[in-house]
Amino acid sequence: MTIDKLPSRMQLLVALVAWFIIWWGLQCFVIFQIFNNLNFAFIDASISLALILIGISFIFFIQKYSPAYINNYGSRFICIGALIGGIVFSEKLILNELYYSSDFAEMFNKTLVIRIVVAFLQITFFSMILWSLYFIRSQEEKNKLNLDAENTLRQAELIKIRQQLQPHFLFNSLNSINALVVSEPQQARKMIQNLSDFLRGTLKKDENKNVPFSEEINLLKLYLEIERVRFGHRLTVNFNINDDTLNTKLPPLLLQPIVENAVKFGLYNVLENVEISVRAKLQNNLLVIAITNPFDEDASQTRKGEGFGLSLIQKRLQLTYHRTDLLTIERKNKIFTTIIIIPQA
Amino acid sequence: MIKVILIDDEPLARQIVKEYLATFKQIEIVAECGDGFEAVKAIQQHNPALIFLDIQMPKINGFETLELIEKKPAVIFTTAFDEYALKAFEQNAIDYLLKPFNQERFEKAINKFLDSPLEKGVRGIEGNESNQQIEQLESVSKKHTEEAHRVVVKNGTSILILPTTQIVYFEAYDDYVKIFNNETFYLKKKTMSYYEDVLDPTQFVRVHRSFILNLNYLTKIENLDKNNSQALLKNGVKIPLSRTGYSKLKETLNL
Repeated sequence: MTIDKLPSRMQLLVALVAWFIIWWGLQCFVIFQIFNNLNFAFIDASISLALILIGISFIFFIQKYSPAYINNYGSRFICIGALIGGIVFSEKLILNELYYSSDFAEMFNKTLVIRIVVAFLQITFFSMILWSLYFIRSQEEKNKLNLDAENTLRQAELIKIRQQLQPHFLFNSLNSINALVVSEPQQARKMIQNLSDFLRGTLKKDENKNVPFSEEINLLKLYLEIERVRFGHRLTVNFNINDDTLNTKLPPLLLQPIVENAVKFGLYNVLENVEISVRAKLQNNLLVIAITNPFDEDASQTRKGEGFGLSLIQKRLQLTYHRTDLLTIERKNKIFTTIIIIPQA
Repeated sequence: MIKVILIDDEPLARQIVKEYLATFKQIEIVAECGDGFEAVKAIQQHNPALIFLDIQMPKINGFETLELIEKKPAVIFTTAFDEYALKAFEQNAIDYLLKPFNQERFEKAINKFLDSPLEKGVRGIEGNESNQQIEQLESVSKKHTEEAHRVVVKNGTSILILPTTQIVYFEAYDDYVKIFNNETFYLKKKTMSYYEDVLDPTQFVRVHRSFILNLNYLTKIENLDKNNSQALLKNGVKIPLSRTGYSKLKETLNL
């Protein structure tokens, strides 16, 4: 038979309380047997239990807040030893305060072994349980992280495939070429060249290898030039790239979907002319890239695609640089700005 | 002369249609439009027999443009859209041309138009049956293009894009549907089942034969007697609930 359900919090709490009551009762019984004083036995067992609980919470907090400190046998047993010593010593001090008599030390020594055994069993038992729980939890977290990473990779893969195909863009470009062949054959030829260079640029990239920013900029320029042939009457493009950024490196095709979004949203959300700008500068060894497009504040509701695309880029940056603050967006004065920061090694 | 209007936001895409059309001496291009707004105006002004219509255009797309036109001309879609969406409106249009298309394919489409009953005098797609069919197809394509989150309406001569979040409820009105926001209402020649189909079912519920409700504007459900209940909206409007509507509402709200 397999267990398909964990005990509930309530059940665990009841078991825990019962556990401590039984230990308390046991200790009461033993002390009573030795001293034949029920009052003393109750007080003694209660003090002992309270001290043990403090010891357990002590281990709990170390386990929670600095697990690295305690997660090896050596330091764990030193810790347990110290706690047992502390507990028994404190018991002696407190009881001495409460029940002082000339033969107290002798009396206490009679029960010393029992006290040490009780403290040892309790503290060790809970220490081990907390350690196991910690181990299970961290394992789960690791699994989840792995799963997340895997999913993101898969999604990125998907995006990459979509990126490479871009059927819509491709067919519309071919349609433009179709029109240009008769009216402006030279322009048609140039368009074919641009389209081929662009496609080649997007195809050969290895996802995991950073590329020079200058290469990415060239690719963006190719892309925007093609779009300008299609929408030249409405689309203007503005590059403002500082020279010191050209040799910086970034993940390949990271900016492409952002610029594509900017063009799409610019063109399809406003009726007027659309200016797309790409600015880049180097700042404290960070490559800062800002891409802007106009948008209509009234009519623009974020479409599903946009949010999805941006969150994927966010994830990709997070996976590569382990930071979540590298992508920001801004909507101001009918201008939508996407800002990307790429740390340089 | 057969009057034709070209609607596409890419000048080169219009240019190629113009070029292909040059061989048809009986066809006259009366207007070229770069977006749906221009198109609605031009169609009203010229009353063309045929339009060439792109799907993806600024602000409002080809479908939405078509919705705004009362006296619908024959339509040939020209688009790079994938086949999925194309299937949806296949029967709605005279033909669809997948960009890029060649002259032969284009001429086939034109001949289809010239042979169609539309050209031979039976103007407009007015029959109830075909209208329903078109609506069905439109709703399929709408879901596909994820544009169930807005409704395009005409207000006098201006065109408004209503986000569905601002729509309070829909009410049936003969052949039309009244679309209410907080201030006023707009008329649209559609059916209730069309909107029931297109809108997000977690936000909009058909609570009555004549009413669809935006749940975000619901404040209270009142039981008048055993068989009668009504919904009270934030703006004070009361809407009757039919028995099935009532249970559907409860189901959607998880009551």
